[in-house]
Parts: sequence; C-alpha cells; structure tokens
Amino acid sequence: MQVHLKIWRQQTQASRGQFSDYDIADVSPDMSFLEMLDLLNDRLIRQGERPIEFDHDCREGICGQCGVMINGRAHGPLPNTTTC
Amino acid sequence: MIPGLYAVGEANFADHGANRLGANSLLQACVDGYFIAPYTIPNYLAAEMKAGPIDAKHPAFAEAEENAQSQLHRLQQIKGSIPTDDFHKALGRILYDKCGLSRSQDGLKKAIAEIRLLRDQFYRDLRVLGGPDMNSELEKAGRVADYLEVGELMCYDALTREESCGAHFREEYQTPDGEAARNDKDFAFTSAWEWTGAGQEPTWHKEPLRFEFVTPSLRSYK
Repeated sequence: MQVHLKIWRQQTQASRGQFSDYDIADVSPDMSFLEMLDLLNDRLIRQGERPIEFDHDCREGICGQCGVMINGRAHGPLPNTTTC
Repeated sequence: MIPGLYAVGEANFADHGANRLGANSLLQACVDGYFIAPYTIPNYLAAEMKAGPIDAKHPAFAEAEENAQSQLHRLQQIKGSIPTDDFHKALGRILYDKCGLSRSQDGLKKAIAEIRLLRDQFYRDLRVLGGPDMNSELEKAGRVADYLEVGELMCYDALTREESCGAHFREEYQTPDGEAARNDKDFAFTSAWEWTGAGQEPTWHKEPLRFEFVTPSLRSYK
C-alpha cells in the first residue's frame, strides 16, 4: 500500500524545523510503523538523502524507546501498543 | 555480601515463565544495561581507586578521543554506496546460519572468511549519511563495525570449543542418539578473545574453571 507521511525534521538541534512530505510506496500491511520508517530511510540513503531520525531499541514492545508522536498521539492510535 | 560481585542483565532475579524468552529477559538486559551497570561498576571501582585523581590533560584522554574521532571520520569519509543496514543484515545472516544453536568446524571456518570479506567491503563501500549533531546512522555504523569484530571472535570461540556445551551444539560432538556431548576434561575453562586487528589472528586468553562444591553433571531431559 501507499502511505503519505508528514515528518517533523530539523537540520540541527538549534535550527528551525518543518514538516517534510514523504510518499512511501509498497508498504506491507504486516510492517510495524518503525519498519515502515526503516523502509523510508533505506530508500532515502540509496537516493543520497539524509535519513530521518527516530529512537528505537528492542523492537518487540518491551523497552519503551520508540517515543514517536503519530497524529498527535504518543506511540500511535492503538491503546496499549508500542510503535515498534 | 561479596564486594564487587554483581548480577546484572539476564542473571539478575526474575520470574521465569512462559514469557521469559524475549520478554522479561529483554527488559532486564535493557534496564540493567542502560541504568544499573553504569552505576554499580563505577561505584565499586570508586572505592578501589588507590591512585589520586587523574587530570583530563593526561595523554590517555587525548589518545582515546583521537581514536574515537578518527574512527567516526573514517566511517563518514568512505562515501560508498551500501547502507549500514545491509552490512548488519549480511553479518546477522552469516552468524545465524553458521554460529547459531547448531554449528560445525566447516561452517565456522567459512563464517570467519565471509566476515573478513564483509568487513573489507564495509570499509570500502559503506554509505553513512546524517546530520552534523544527531546522526543515528553514524552511531549504527560504529556498532556494526564493532559487531564485525565481535562476530568474528565469536566464531573463533565456537571453533576452538570442540564440544557441545550448553545450548551450543557442535555437530561433530554428539552422542550416538544425537544429544550434546560435553567434554569437561578438556574444556573446563572460559575464553576471552583479544582483538588484534583486521585480518590478524586474535589472542586467546583462558581462565580455568575450578568446581569446589558443585561439580558439573550431565543434564538430560529424557
């Protein structure tokens, strides 16, 4: 499936940020949100663009590192579900 | 209490139940790794410190900083075509297939050769892109560079351990009915491997295991 993302990006910690638009094609419905970001970063790096930054660690719903705000909600729309 | 003896990570207390593997074990590894180990070990070492305070102008500080800076610079200057994740996955595949639960002499020798080739390619064709202050790709590349070394040392360790011990099954060393064959006579030691540089044989340090009160016995689930 195709997913459209608006991601908050800043060049440096001190610089002004803005939302950047990304269309990601061929996203599998079985991917987690972070796996979709991995796919986006893989494509960005191969195109020679700076990848997006996001925190993550265990990738199995345990450690709590993936503090992503999605549509204004911490960790995303599903209750009791981590982003990874 | 034994001063300096700590149990952290998976070895600390926890309920071991249906969700042990990958669930509360991982929590212990994360929590102890992030928060407990960085306080317990320095706390012990602080009391052991017999020398006076060491000035940050000591040459060792400058040398350590120079080493770290030159490694970061090296990774960023390769400017190749292959993302870090590709190397991470390729290395994981080699170790999963050849240094996993079941391993053999043949497979481990191949794994060492494959890891060396992969490392050569890593330092020739790695692509690290990222920002000037926050750069998780650079951090990841540093970790994969370490993993390339640790992975090779794991294969050396597995190769030299000519027995089936614990959950590690060496295919050549099994009982007639396919169970793990341990060799306590020749392998009652732990190994520590010292990295000596890419393409070099690592140095093998051994510490003998002496069992005074509880002696090793056969573990059988049959």
